[in-house]
Amino acid sequence: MEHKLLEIKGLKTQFIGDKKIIPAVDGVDLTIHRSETLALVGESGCGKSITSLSIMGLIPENGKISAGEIIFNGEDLTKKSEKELERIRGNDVSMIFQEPMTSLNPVLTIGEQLTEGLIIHDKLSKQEANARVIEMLKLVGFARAEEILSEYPHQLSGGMRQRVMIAMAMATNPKLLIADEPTTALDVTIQAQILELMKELKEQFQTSILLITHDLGIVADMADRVVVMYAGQVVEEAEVESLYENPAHPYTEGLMKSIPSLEKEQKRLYSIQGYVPAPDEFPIGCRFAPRCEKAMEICHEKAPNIYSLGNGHHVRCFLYKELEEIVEQ
Amino acid sequence: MVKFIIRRLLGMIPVLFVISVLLFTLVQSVPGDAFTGDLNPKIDKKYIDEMREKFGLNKSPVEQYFIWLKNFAQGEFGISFKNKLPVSDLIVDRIGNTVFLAVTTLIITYLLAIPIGIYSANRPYTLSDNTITTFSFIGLSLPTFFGALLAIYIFSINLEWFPSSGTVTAGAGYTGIQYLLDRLHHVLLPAVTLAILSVASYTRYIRSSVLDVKQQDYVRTAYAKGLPRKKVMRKHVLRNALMPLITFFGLDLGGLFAGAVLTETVFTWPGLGRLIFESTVNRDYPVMMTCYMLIAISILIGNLIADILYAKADPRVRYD
Repeated sequence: MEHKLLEIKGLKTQFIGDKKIIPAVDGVDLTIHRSETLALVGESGCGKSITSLSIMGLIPENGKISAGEIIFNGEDLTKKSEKELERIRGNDVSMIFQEPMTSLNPVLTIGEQLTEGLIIHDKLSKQEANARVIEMLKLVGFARAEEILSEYPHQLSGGMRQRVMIAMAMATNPKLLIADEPTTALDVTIQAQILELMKELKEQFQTSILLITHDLGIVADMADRVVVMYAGQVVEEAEVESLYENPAHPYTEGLMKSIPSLEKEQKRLYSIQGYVPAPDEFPIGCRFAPRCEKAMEICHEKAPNIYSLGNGHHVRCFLYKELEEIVEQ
Repeated sequence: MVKFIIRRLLGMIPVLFVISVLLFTLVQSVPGDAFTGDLNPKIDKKYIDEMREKFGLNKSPVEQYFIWLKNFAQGEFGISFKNKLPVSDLIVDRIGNTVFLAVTTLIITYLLAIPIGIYSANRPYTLSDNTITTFSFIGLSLPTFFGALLAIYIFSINLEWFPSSGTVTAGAGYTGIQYLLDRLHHVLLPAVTLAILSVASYTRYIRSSVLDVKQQDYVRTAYAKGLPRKKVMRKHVLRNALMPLITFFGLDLGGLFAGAVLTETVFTWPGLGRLIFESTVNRDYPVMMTCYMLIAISILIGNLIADILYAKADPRVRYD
């Protein structure tokens, strides 16, 4: 129990559309242990970001958590008031976003934006906050940290802005850092630097990371465990080695095959046919069945349960129905 | 910045020249002149011809333009055909009233529109937002003069709360604070009438601007930091959402001297708007040209001020 930092049980987050209820996240279970990096993988629109925003309590106004528990550090976040959540956000749980270009307020100085969280959470004075921020900026690789404080976001490049976002997120020494596609908008060379920086900081601060990505390439490098999401559900969960050696779910397999490889000579890049169905158009059976190369009759009729391949490797697929069934909470 | 301002001011000269040519052409192309309408049969036709000669109305339009330009450039605005008074005196007489009315209107507009717009944006598509939207559209589609007449009918004639015309109570001889209150009492009805109309468009604008900024990534970042809702609104949303109002403010500054032609006329408010109206009806060329040029200059200056304010408010905007 002690080493579980975050445990999500049966999370359902819904949006109210035009008289329709849209189940963006539909019964997600996942666990993050202390100082572990968990990668949450899946295509766009599969509910990864909404899962992370649900943890933060930052779901857009027309959405709500309709079922499930988010137990962080022993307390259920879904039962917390807005005031209590404010004390946790940016303090115990921090978040960095996909778009460093637009995630900083264009009219406030970097210093102003970096210190405001510290002033609120750690009750620091302006000077103390500034000192802490300068220390953080140096840590994320700014040589001229003092000068950056009085600069504005538009004076920095995308990679520098993401470093600022990381400094902002880590300044309060959070227990959990949620990184929502932190490198997607960056150049490949900058990507590697940012990932390296996140690894270093994780070691230093003993922070757990929830890394949301659609790039399986960076998962192998960063994560301890992987959760694969498809159409609002978890379809596979495994230790990173186990997943790469033996991707069980046809969807995971498809994602793996979609990574361009230099070793194998490929005429065409593999791609999974079709698109993620919209949350109001989920099929009756397995949600992946219409796109699945291995789909059987049963897949179109019944929704599969979760089966265990042992060693914490779970998969939601009828191909494994002979194996031990995991009961969902 | 100083260089920028000087460059912009110098740049206004050719613009004003072109505007003056256009204005002069427009003014001159209206058939007749200031004396056409003098139907008094007792006036000798010869006298009218003499007057036309005296004021240079018999010269060719091009000649007349350059005479006007030469005088205007030297600060000679001419003599009103109608009142036989120097145009500068007429304008000085009226400008105070117009500015007083315009500034009051502007203050009322901002005091109403900003809170209403923000309120509306924080509850999009609810009953209160839809009610505000409905009233905004009524306000937007109501013609000024109709609103003014309606206001006079309700608040002056029926309720007798406000006077329907003038800037002070004639012959009351108020001084000090009483004088000020009396003026405020007179300005309120025309100012509120004018304000209601601009509140409608401002409210719409502020609502959509706040709604737009609330969707921005940096607002989500601010929430993710754990800032309370109020602080996010004040520090991150409003600053960005209200910045585009600077443009409106610049336009309003420009419109300040244009006066509210119709409203001033309906409320018999002796401001520039009425002067423009009267001079246009009477083809009083010197007054017309001076007033129109004044409007052109104030719009250019208003835009310049808006640009300067932008540079102050938005760090991304820099002039060198």
